[in-house]
Amino acid sequence: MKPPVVAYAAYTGPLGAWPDQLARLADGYAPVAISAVDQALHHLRCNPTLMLAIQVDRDTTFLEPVFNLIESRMPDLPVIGFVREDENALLRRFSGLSFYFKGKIVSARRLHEEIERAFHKFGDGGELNSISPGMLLQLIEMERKSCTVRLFDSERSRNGTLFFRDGCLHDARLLETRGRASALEIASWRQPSIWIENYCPDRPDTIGLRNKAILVEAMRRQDAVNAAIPPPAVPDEKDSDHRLMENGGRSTKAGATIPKDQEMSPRGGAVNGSPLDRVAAALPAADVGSEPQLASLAKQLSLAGSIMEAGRLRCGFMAPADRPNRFFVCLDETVGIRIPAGHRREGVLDLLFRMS
Amino acid sequence: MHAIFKDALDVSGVQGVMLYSKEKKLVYSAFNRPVRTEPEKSVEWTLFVSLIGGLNELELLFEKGRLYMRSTVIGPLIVLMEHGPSSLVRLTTELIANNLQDPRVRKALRV
Repeated sequence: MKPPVVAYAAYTGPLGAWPDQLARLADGYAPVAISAVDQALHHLRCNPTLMLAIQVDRDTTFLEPVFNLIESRMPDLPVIGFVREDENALLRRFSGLSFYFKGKIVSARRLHEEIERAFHKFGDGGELNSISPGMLLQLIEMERKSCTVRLFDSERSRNGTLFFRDGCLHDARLLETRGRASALEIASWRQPSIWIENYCPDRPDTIGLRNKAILVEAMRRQDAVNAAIPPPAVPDEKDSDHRLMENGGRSTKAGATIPKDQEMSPRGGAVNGSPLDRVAAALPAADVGSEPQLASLAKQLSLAGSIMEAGRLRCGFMAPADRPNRFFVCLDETVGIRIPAGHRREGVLDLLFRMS
Repeated sequence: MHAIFKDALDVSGVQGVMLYSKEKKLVYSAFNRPVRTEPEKSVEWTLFVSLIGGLNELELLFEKGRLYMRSTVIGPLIVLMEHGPSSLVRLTTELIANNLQDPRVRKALRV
């Protein structure tokens, strides 16, 4: 899901063709076109909005309630304004909250260009797509950065903003709410899109906790949510028998029957079956296990793939200073593998790469 | 380019080499082709380096490339490369790691 950008046309009458034109041009964001003031207020209060583009034709009464809401509740929201000269007085009143004001009303193409430019501006400290907010908290603390971080979580379709001063989280916003609860919610998102702006407005500290404390509490909440998710439904016996007969099967050397749908696919990946079983079958001498810590580390290490533009992490080898060496392969779950000495690393990695 | 990295950069398929200090500061980098994210300006590489602090060696295979890291007396040495045998890269980085123990080399690298 792409991050939503609201285009609010504060004027009466039909919107014309520009919403459709903008939707066609938009790449990397999802435009939402709104013309009624009530609808705009409701949308800003209840839906994720990463940026607001405003066009004003004549009646400024359509503009003021929206600006009042932004000023009081979401002053970090980037606003692109396209207005006539005679509305400049109103805009000056709200100048503290507006990043981009560009003059008179424009075409959809111009609006698109300004939205792209605004994304670039509020991502001037970096754009990240494959790290968790928890990692981000640690990184910013380490670098003692002062910045504004905007996040969009496509899983839950939510966006939020974190504010850091000298590496410490001191404010957070989620829709209209601010403070510690918002920070905890945002810190528990798994892999949001992140834009870092190298600027932090002067805001009071609403958090009152160190980054590490926020992180630990967010992880505890995430674990609680994960524990509450029911396991996948097991098909009933009749279904299983039916599928086995339908697919046929093959015998292993040990005489066990493996359903055909658990065999290796022509591309080298298994069509079905537990990832652990598949790796164990491919590497009979190996000690194979599912390790949550390793899975978490592998997920974080996959960051390098996005920096290198090398795609998804498929497998790897690691030699920790304080633990035994191990291979891993990223299937439906990350499987850790310990192999007795004597195996060629190249050969094992080649096999795991073809499996994944 | 510093001479000790030349052999690694000359290996077929190698895209670039980066050496970080244990304090996660970039000490040296050289690339055979332009990269999207320059390590000097990248928060992302710093973040990655912070993840691999406890590892002596790491090899990651992505869909379209490979990353090899080994720790040295200075800090992690990272090689980015295309798919292909990595044994020659492992050998050249071993030599670099040995060279980095020489105080004169460290002085030349200003570490």
